[in-house]
Amino acid sequence: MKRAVIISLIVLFCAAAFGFNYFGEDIRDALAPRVEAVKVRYSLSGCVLPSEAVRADQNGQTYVMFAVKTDKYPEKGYEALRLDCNVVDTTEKEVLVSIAGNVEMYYLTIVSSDKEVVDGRRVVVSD
Amino acid sequence: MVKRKFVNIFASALLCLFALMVVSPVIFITVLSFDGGVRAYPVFFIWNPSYVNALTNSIIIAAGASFGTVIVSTLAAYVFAKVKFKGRDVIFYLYIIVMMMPFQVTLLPQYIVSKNIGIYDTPLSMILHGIFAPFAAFLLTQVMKSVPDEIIEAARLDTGSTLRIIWSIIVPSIRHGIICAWALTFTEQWNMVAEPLVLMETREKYPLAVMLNEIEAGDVLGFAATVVFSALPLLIFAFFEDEIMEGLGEYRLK
Repeated sequence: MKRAVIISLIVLFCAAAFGFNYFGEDIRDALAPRVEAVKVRYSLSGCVLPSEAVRADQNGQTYVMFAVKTDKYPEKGYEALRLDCNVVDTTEKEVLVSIAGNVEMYYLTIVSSDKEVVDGRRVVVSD
Repeated sequence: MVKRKFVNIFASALLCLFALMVVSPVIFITVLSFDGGVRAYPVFFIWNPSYVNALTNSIIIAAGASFGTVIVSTLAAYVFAKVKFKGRDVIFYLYIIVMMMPFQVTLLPQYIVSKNIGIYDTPLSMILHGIFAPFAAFLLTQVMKSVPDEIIEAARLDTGSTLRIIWSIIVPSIRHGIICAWALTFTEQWNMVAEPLVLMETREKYPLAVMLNEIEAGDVLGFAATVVFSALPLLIFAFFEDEIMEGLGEYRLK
């Protein structure tokens, strides 16, 4: 009996690891609230930036930094990962991320598809 | 009599204190991981893909290396324990020398070999080096020496196939030793930190042990990751407890 329980736990453990690894994207998409995103093209010559964005030159590279309102810590990392950008600084409710120059970036509007503010919750970019 | 009783109580208290010192980090981390409820665990498995990806890498590397090493080491152990040929002892001593070396000594050659055969920065670089690690072969050689030669000679009358003799006669006889070697190799591969850092450079391919280096104080997700990380070896030990103890006992008696 003891062995049956342990082997079940081992199988469950491995199945959870592989399952969440390979289907995690779908699970996250299914669970996350949908929000609108405004696509902003940023280039060095003619830049169109969200009003909150800050432009900075460091080590010969131009960075755009802007704040994304998120939930607490782990979700911040996830947002940064989704946006393919670097976390510059984090505060209680905001994470400051940077995106290297000459990229197409997403400016997150923190409203849901039915226009309700989802401030303080994890958000997902949808085109 | 009273003095003896007092000594026993004192010794028991001292042992309990030492046991508590050993177990306290695990208890401490487990309790901290539940700071704010079970929230850190869904975050580990769902919302932070890097951790669960690293966990999968750990399972692939540890399982691949441990199953591979059991197959290779059983065959090697049969040769070392039961086949007589010139230079056998020299090769076995070379095995022991490599086993006694600090792993940092063999790390650079492993890196060069991985680069040259094109498996650098792949899980195969970890798995292949794990498969040919000498410890399991050494342990199984010692265990296999306990199998009487007469049984093998009797089996040889029925079949000429050495592989069949190993599979049908020797493997069931040294089952405990094989499970023990598998479990120890699995745990060793599971806990490796330096090797992945040298043999791999892509962050997405790192096992969980490497990711745990980045835990900071107050990082509840990191504590949850530590608990998940230590769960599988504990389950394996709980499942194979008798076999591991018996396998180590046979090894010690040699």
